[in-house]
Amino acid sequence: MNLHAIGLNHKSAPLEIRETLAFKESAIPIALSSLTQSFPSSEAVILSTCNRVEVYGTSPNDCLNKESLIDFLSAFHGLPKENFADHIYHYQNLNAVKHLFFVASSLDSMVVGESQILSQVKDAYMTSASLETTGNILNQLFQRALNVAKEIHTRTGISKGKVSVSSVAVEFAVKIFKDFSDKTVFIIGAGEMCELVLKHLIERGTKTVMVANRNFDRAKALADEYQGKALNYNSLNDYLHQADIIISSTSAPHYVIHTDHIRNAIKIRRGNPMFLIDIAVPRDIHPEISKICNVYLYNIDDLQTVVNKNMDERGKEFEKCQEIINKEVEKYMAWFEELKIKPAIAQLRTHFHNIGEKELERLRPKLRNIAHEEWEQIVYSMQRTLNKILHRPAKVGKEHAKNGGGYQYVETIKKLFGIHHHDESNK
Amino acid sequence: MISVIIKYLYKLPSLTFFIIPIATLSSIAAFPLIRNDLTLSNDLARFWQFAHIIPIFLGYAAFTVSFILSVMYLAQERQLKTKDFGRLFNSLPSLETLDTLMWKTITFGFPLLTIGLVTGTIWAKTSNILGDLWYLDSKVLLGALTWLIYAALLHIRLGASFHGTRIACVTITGFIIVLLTFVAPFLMGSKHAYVKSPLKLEQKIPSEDAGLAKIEF
Repeated sequence: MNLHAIGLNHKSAPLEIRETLAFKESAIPIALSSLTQSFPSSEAVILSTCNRVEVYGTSPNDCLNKESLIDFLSAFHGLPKENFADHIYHYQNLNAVKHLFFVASSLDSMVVGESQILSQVKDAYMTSASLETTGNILNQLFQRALNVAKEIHTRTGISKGKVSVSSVAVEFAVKIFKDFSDKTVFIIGAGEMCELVLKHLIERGTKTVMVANRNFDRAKALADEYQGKALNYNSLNDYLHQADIIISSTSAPHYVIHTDHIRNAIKIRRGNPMFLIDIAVPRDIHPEISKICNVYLYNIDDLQTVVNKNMDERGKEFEKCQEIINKEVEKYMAWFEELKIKPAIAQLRTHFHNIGEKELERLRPKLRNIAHEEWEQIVYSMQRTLNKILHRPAKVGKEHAKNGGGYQYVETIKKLFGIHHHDESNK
Repeated sequence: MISVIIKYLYKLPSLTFFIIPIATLSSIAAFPLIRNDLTLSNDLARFWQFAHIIPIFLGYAAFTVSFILSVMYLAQERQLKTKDFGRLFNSLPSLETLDTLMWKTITFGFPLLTIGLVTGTIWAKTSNILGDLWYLDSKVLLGALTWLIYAALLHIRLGASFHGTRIACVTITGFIIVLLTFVAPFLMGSKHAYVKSPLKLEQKIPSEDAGLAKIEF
């Protein structure tokens, strides 16, 4: 009985391969049931996100292993395994547990510390659990993985600090303004990045949006999407004073907003602060503007510097996370190995008690004359002796299991006492 | 007390960080003054005394908080301007929050200061405890200057383009005058300084508040 994890992620495989092997949400139940039908008594969980496709599985007789899992992926997606086998990673037992803990804690993600993966792992597990394709082993594994991930998020700084340019920009806006519902956002140049920042601001409560773009139709389209107002690009300076937040990303080769424009705007605004975000390269907003009182100007480099710093900070927390994970992996493995030992110890117990019973059966006709109480004493004594003999193998077995030597121990016991029939877990 | 109310109303834990040193310093400053007991001779004097002390004390407490908020504002503003973010950056609130609170504490403190000054004037005139030239007392003059500064601040904030940074600077100036009001009697001599005061307070409360209230005299 071994635990296997196979899969591919953004590090091991290019996007085209990840795309072909990804499971649609509706396909996961079909895949899970076909997998557990092909391998009876097996347990399986499929995790499929835009950055990774992974299958976790275990079966009592180990028929569910690396090869069979690759064959399954190949058959299910109708893709020859030669096409993707090189990109597949495979982890077994301790390494599989460690890998899942890393994945759930977002240490294996493209953006380390992002919180989305935790809910994706949870969903994957819940889907399998509701289809009853998980058993004792995977239930324990996934529940512990989710707990470890939560612990890491709360006890370490791995998910602290924003790591995307748009969210960092919004973080700064939050340090300038308190309430966004009465703030006006002015978008100049209807780029993708502008829209991303705008989305974040709308989540914070922004209601008034103005858009100006050289191409008026594009400005109109973006403005309509957010119930905003599209403005004439050539008269944008007339509207600057209305804006609390200006996000600019035009492709103009020169400055679009000059110092005088903002100086006038701030005068009309009676000194009410303005936050200017310049995401354009080359820059749209004259850098001298940052010297004006109550005006805060951030360009793409300023934002990127913060992103990089936050990334570094997260990197520093990595070791702390690893320590937590190692401890939890150890605990899980002790439980897992003990699971293997238990049936063997139970068999050993049955084996000894069978011997004892046979011996008592042989003895009973010979001691026909003794009193019932005396016979009871003999039976009791026999049971005590057997239990005393069995106590140590059971105790040592658990210790071996904790140290990872459970499998050898079981084999030795089987050989020593001649236990040949299948263990319970194989049934 | 005012800072605690603001802290809970506006969820501003970082305020404590700034207020504790001030509270500690004022407690230490008040400590040697506690032994000066003042006893009141008649009920009328007692009425004017409390009508003077309590509003002025609360007004100054509000100005202290607004001063702290101004320092927080300038610290946060500097970090946003220079893009050099220290440890405080994350725990300090937004500029808008600080600006609103500065405004609220000043508008709370100013009427109290006004009431305190008016009752103080009536008291000085009726009981004549500061002598005939009561208006030349250093504490009275500085009190009037404080009032003028905050009055000007309210006026320009309401009327002209005056926001954020400048308001914070004026608030800090106003608070320095408030501090001078406490220190001046010791340096220049004043009948307000209770060392020389003919009055004696009945209660003996060894707390920071009592200390502050007494320095008023």
